[in-house]
Amino acid sequence: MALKEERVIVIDPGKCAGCHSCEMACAMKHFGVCHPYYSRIRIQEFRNVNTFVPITCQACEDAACIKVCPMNARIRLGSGAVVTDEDKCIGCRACVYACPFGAPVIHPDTGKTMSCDLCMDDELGPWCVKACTMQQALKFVDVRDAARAKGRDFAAMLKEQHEPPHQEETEFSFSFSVE
Amino acid sequence: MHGWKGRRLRLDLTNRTYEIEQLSVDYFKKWIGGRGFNSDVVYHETRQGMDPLDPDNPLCFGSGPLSGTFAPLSGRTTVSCRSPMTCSNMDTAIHGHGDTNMGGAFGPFMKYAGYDQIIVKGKADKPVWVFIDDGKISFRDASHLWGLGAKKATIKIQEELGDPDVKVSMIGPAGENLVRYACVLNNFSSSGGRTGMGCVMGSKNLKAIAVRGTKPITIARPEEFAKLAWALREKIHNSPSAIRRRAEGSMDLFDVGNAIGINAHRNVSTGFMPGIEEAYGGMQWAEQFLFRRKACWSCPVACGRYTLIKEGKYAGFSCGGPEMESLCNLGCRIDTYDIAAVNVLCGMVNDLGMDSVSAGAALSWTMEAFEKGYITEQDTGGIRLEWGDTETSMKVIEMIARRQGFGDLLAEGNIRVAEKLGIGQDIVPHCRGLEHISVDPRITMGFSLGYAMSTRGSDHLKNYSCVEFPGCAKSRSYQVEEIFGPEGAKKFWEDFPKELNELDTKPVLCAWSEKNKCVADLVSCCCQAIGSWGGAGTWQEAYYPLLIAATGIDLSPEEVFQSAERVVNIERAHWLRDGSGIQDDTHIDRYFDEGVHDGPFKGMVIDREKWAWAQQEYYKTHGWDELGFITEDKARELKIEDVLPDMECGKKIIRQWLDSDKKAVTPMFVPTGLKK
Amino acid sequence: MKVVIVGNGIAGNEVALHLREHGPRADDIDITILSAERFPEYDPCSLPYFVGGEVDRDAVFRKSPDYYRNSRINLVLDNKAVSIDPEAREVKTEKGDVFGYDSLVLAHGGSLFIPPIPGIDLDGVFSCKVLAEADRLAGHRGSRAVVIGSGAIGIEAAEALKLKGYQVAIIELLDWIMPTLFCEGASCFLADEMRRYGIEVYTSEKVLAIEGKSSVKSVKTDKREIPCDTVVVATGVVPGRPLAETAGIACERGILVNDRMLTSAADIYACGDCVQTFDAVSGEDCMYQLKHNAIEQARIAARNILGEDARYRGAYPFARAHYFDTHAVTFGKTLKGLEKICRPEQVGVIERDTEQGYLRLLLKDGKIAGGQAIGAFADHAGLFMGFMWRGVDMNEFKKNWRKIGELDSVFPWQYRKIGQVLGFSALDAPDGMEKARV
Repeated sequence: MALKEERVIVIDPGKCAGCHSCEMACAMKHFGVCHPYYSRIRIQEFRNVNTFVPITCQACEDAACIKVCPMNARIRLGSGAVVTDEDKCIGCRACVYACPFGAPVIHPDTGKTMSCDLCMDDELGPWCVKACTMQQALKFVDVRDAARAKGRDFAAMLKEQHEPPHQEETEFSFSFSVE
Repeated sequence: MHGWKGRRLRLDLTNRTYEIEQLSVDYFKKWIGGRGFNSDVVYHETRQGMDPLDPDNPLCFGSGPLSGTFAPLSGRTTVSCRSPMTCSNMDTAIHGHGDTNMGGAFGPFMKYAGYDQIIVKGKADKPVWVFIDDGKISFRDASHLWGLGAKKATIKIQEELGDPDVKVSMIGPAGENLVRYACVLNNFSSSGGRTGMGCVMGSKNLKAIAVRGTKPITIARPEEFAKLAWALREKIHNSPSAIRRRAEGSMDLFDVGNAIGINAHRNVSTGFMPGIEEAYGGMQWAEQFLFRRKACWSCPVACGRYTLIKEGKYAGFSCGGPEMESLCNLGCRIDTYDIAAVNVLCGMVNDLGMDSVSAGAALSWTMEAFEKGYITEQDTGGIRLEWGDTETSMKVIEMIARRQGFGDLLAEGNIRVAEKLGIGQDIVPHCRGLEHISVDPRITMGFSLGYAMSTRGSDHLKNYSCVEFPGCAKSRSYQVEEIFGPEGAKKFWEDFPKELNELDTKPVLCAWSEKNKCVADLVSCCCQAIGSWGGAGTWQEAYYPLLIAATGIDLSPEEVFQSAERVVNIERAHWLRDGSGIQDDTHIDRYFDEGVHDGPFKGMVIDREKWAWAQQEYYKTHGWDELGFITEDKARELKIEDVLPDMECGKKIIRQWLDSDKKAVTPMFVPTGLKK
Repeated sequence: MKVVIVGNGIAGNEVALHLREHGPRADDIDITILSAERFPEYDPCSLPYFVGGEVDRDAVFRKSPDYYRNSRINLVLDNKAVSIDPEAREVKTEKGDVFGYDSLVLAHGGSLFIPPIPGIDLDGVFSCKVLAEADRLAGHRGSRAVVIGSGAIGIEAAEALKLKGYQVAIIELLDWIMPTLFCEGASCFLADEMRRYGIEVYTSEKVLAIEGKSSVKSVKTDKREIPCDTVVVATGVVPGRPLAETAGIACERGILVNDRMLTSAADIYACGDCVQTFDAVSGEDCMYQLKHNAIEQARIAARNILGEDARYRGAYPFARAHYFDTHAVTFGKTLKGLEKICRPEQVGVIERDTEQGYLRLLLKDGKIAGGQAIGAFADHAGLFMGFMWRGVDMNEFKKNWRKIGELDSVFPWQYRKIGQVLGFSALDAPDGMEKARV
């Protein structure tokens, strides 16, 4: 499939120091409160080995969440982001279960799901990426660059470990960046 | 209520009950947060002469209004209680205020669970741990966790709860065994080390507090708050000092340290260690050992390290930490260049749950005592500690934590060790029973005065007068006038850069810095950002607007600064109540008599006369009397009149001691005229 | 090129959409959709939520009439295709229209299985599979309902009616509800949740008759008689074969297709509920009439029409159910399904039952072949499915888990997470601290 001119958030867990600034930024941006549960990006902590993996919607080309949503509430925006239409969502969590990362998260108050909207048109760009300026574990890059970077260092490893035995494109390989 | 949660949780371990107390806006305005709440509770809920291991000693975990918010650097938690480690030099049984500030994520999660402060009192009949799941509090059996190191016990708790995101604040074996300088840790290795909070936690038979919080912190003016937080973050992102701190960790201070004598070499007998930059420097360390950075909650800098030793004798060893102070006190303080071994020592000290400064001090004191011939193998049960002997040090550290053999004695803290052995009192580098950190008190006079005046015993993190360092003074020249006023600033710049070694401007600097640092503790943000690397600027620029936007209260910067002063005063009052005033605001004789051994400041000592002057000048700056006691006027100004009766009581004790023939535990300079 | 798509459901529309969006010669393709119904595309999965009043009727539609116009898709409504002439490459409709094609896609799905029960045609008996029926059900005023059949549609319909204030009973012929999706344990748990919600659940019960003169009065089973004024039949879907059979296309339970979604006739593709295909993991013949399978099959068909050599990876079950705050998910094989296709010694079960929820993984030769999760475990279902796709040997995994990524800077975090979820202890080997000390 041809890659469109889209920008995506690329994650490099190797650089994440586990400060959760991205979560705070996301919750602040979207709800004006502070708590990781209100954030669309979540850090999986493996603190005993000091490893942190930010999980956010990768806006898969062939997104499992779109396919399984009974209400067709998972929609792709013009920016490429895949978000939940809150008016339609019935909070069944099918998208959470179907996602290979569990990236969509459940809003603690409404029970509906939500996922990264790339902060829409905010002039700062995605807040989580901005909050990660120093650690550079999150980057907002052109999807084609991301693909190229992905193709280099970790491709071999990922191929072995993440590729589902499908003929379709590997829709849920995790994007890593390389410098 | 915005910013704060408005509630305080009181746990009673004796009866295994809890109580939730609502706090009023007036209370918040008075004490602001974190260290403020804690110091208030610790002062008012302890009594004169109380044993710190008494079940009634309130162990407080405090978080501030910015804790757990989007504000950067806001992951700090203050732990306070009456300290078992610190003591007056009149008598090691006279204790005083103790607190410690830890990073990690415990404070934020306390707030997510709905509490600004957690107070633990009482004593469980057998080991317990407490699980705070929002409003549900359960006391659980900890017998299977007892004796486990921090890492294992934390994993066990998280696995037991099936939730790896639970934040656990806990003690290691050292705390269980009542090592006087045991620490409280959270997030595996973020420790609140100083003053032995872990010992008190252990005395309560409390192994751990685990918190899960699911409720958000609301912000009074979210848009404004976000804008301010972004502005501060931006400032940090672009700050060269922050970038360096990220790359090198706090080890970036080692090279500066040698130039200004802040690398405690050989039991703080000198502040200079030849070749330390190559051995301990941040970049070198990172190249050899850095596995990944580790950040406190909401901190973009991530000065924390995670060690992985890749080769050599200790290959495969991994642990959280170390930071500069641990490396320095377990490394150059015991005179070794074997950094891998020092890393292991740091890891062990963390896992066993001890203060790395005091643990390093215990080792280095023993080493110097051996060197001077004060003690022999007969005193130590066959163990001989020589300078730089890391392997024996590891053994001794383990012995201290388990209180085995000679370790049982060392676990009491140097001042008591020397007292019990009846020798070596002259080489205990301490103020109020707490050993010095890595900065030599003969060189940087601001830190020196700060050690002595600190409300928790010798420590830089109470006054943190970084502005005295030539580098900091230059980069923060705009602050100099604010601190000293126009006249003082002129004097400061005249002496510059020699002012570092002069006491002239230091009383003013010290009094100001205490409050400055305290503000960071009150809002529960990192003091380093307005201190040593200073990338955040002043607190007025950095934290004050965030505080106001988050809480929506009406509080002027002056009032905030006054709150900080109030907190400093109430902590001071805690000491004064027990009679620890001017006679403890000083250093041991060594630093007045014996010159620095080596380095650019070789031969430097503290001048007794100047010191006596500086003491009085400092009191005056604070509005205290000549014995260092809080005056009635000051108490009224700060609305802490309730301390006044206690001041009278304290004065009686101090007069009695001064008039008696009793000597100080360690030989200490007391200004002439006071003591007969 | 002329493409005719029979059926205006999810599969049919996905084919059209894919052809329009991804075809390099997209604009040359002349797309016609033949629909037996009167509506633009809607989603049958959303119907219960519309009936229950959780969403507006508008929300069930996936497309508006404008969409077809703008995408230049010729939509023929209310005109059912009745026969195919593969030689002449023509489709005939019931109204006598003839549509010629270069490629034909059969995506007309299936029709509701109507059990041969006396009284099934009474007034007050509904289904919930098509919009017209759902409209009737939504407009119906009743107070007591019986749902026959407890597949995904059945339980959702039951919930919808409960929401509307009905007193609801659900009857399942087999031993537990959602028998093809869940194993007994999880199913019983869900049944208990439904009872807590106020829905009566009767399993191992056979409906003998629906009683009543012109309208429904009660449902009679082999164990009891339940008075009611509404009956919803949700006893499964039979694939629509008759149309394919007119063209002599090979059929078994459904229309047979190869892994390119091509039927036995040239240039005739089939996808969606009407096809019989193979299981992605075990390779056996299967018919999982689920939305995601229909979409994937449709895309394969479309890509093959466009000349790509796209192969289908196989169908897989994935479904979820929720009541109150209880959320459950199932994927892949159930224990029963697994026992049918392999020897007992090949089958393994991993089970976890904790405060946070319930998890059951079914292993075939040590590899995950299916699983069900309730509560917090469900949130990690995607990770388990990844394991299923990758064929991770769980025994090896358990042995090596602690070492995974220990000293790697970037490692497959999913592995570590799953270990955590499965309750593997990170403490069963000496850590770095001890290693250094000895």
